Amino acid sequence: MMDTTPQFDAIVIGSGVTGGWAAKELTEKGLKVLMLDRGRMVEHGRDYTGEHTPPWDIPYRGKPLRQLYADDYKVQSQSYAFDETTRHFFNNDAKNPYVHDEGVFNWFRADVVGGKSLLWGRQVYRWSDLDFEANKRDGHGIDWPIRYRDIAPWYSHVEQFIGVSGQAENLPQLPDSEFLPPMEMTVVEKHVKQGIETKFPERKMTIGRVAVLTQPHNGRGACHYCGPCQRGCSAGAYFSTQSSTLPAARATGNLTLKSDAVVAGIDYDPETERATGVRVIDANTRERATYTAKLVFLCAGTVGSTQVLLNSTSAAFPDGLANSSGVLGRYLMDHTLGTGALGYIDGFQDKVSYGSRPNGIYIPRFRNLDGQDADADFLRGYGYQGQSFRMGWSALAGKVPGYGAEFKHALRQPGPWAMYIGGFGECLPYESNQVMLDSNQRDRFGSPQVRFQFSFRDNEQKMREDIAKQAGEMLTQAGAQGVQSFVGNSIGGDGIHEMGTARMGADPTQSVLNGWNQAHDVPNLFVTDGACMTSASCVNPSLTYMALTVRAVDYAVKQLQQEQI
Amino acid sequence: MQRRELLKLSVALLGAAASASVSRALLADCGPRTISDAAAFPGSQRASVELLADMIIPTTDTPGAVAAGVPDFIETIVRQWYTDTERTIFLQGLDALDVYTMQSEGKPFCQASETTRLAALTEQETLAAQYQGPPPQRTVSKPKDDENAPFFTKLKELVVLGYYTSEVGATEELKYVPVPGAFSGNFDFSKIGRQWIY
Repeated sequence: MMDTTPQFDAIVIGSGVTGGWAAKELTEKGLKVLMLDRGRMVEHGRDYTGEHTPPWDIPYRGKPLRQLYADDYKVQSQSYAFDETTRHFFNNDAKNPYVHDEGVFNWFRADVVGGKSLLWGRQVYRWSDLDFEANKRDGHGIDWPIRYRDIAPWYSHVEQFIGVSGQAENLPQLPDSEFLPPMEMTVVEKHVKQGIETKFPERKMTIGRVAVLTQPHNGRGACHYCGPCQRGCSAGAYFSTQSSTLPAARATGNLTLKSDAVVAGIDYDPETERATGVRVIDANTRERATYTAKLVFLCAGTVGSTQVLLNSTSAAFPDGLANSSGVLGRYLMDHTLGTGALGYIDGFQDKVSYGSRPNGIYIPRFRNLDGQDADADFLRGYGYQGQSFRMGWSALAGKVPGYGAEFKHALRQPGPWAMYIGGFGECLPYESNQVMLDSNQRDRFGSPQVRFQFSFRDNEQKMREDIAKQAGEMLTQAGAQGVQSFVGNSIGGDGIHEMGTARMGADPTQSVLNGWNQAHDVPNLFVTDGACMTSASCVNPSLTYMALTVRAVDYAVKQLQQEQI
Repeated sequence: MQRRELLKLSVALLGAAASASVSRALLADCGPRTISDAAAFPGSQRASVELLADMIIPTTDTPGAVAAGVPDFIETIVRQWYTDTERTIFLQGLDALDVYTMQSEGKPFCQASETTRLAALTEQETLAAQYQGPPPQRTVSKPKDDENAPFFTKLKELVVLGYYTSEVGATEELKYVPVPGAFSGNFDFSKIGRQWIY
């Protein structure tokens, strides 16, 4: 008789922010775990080849390798974090393409173990019930099956481990995390904060809340303020899979990690109504294998996870695994960004920053907090990120005319102080904003490519106009000179906060996942990355993905122990 | 337009009387002061680039652009990185400087007096100031270089980038601390006296 015992207790697909967390929690609870990632291995420290590279050692001094980027990194090279010090972490768009309809959706992806946890912006904010109740309140999308009280202890669990620096503010719309000491505002940011809070008593400016350590924490080193975190940090000062969750999972002795493992699909047994295994293609040898397990955690990134489900078809699920509702792929969201204002601040000419702070300031949402504001022609709201800076040599060179000794001497002095704030706007969930498969266009493994259908709509546009207007007014009221407001034209994906497509909900006919991130249709399948999101809030989502992941693991393991799944 | 064609044109413009001196001057030894690994520009172009680099960022109390290796950087960019359009604009700019100094004092740029060279370069700066580039696109994508930007704009950009990202420019003219170890948002500029490179 064939041995039907699964090879692993659990398989985790993906090793980024949520995959790493799932692996850590599952292995620490004693489960034998296989973690898969389609990308190549990156070892902490050793493979951060761009870290601390001085500018004179960067090819072409940081100018883009135009032909290579146009050919192989058409989408990825548009990221602020992409250059020759980080390119080795990013997806090769020629090798791993999607159907890129110009101007529709920019899908930013890593292609390494650790995923975007190596590259992320590290801003972390808790959601509040303003967010979890948003859909119910205005009727866009379906209600979340959970509330703040359900997730609050899991936020704490995550924060205690990853380390979050920030300032407690006691705001109902932005609950405080468990904070390490906050980073310091610049003298100009403090000046602008005072100006804004004096003129707009209901608004607040606080230091950014960031998963970067301001003191040693859990064996990781404090930030040394070198600047470009995305090159990797061998001190482990920012949270990544490599710095934090992977060492913890490895320490249990329960983890098997396979890199270069492209998931072709998840197998499903209609008799037991369970996922039985994961079909994998070796990215280098094209060798195929199937791994079996009692539990599957799908953490491949919003679009990647939904791609795996859409690719996993069977007689029971002809439109994709766990898709009896038909909503899989739909309700894709992102934040709008790049809208805000810039102004110059007089004075403080004798002051500069010391060190490069990997963080800025945050102005929490102040719009539509208690019902709809009378002067707001849009639903929901936005928050601002920003920072002050002194104009540097590069910008000054474009402004200082002439050449010679005087020119050189002028560039020795930093330019005027400027203050920038840019809004992240909440996007409503729209059914037709979606991820689908294009079976006419296949990748090198024979799988259909992902295609997007996406647009920001009237509500997002009206919100952008308000973001620009309020930003300009705040900077002006705070005494800034030459204030320029601007309405950005970011498209879907530019926020790199893509979420939705396998949303949570109480009703199995309208959602893919229940309140535990468990597939309604397949009880041993959990999706805990951004795909699960039912609405988008306006705050950066990664912390919420992490908290949902650890909450789901806790539930799944208890269910497994009780033989419920 | 190729350099050779431009020289023909300059001879035509200056007339037969000047043509002999033009030819003589252009054939004269105008060798570079430093040797490029790329060794790509003809001697007179290399010499012009070296002169221009130090005209834009001269040696003062700190080393200038040539000492920082900027001419090599410019050659690398112009030869390997520039598009055909950009390269043509750059090389035509070098030729235009020669034409100017030829007309003024019958010598190519690299042999002309300092006064004439300054006048030639300032003319290029004036021309560049009249250029209207495409409107800036306010998107979240990184700004792209304007391929059609005029010679002076291109030259100044390369000298500035090459200088301040060089080890000399970053550590002697400006300040570079790779691992600061702490952050302050209220630091006395007088303690460093020059700006950070980041």
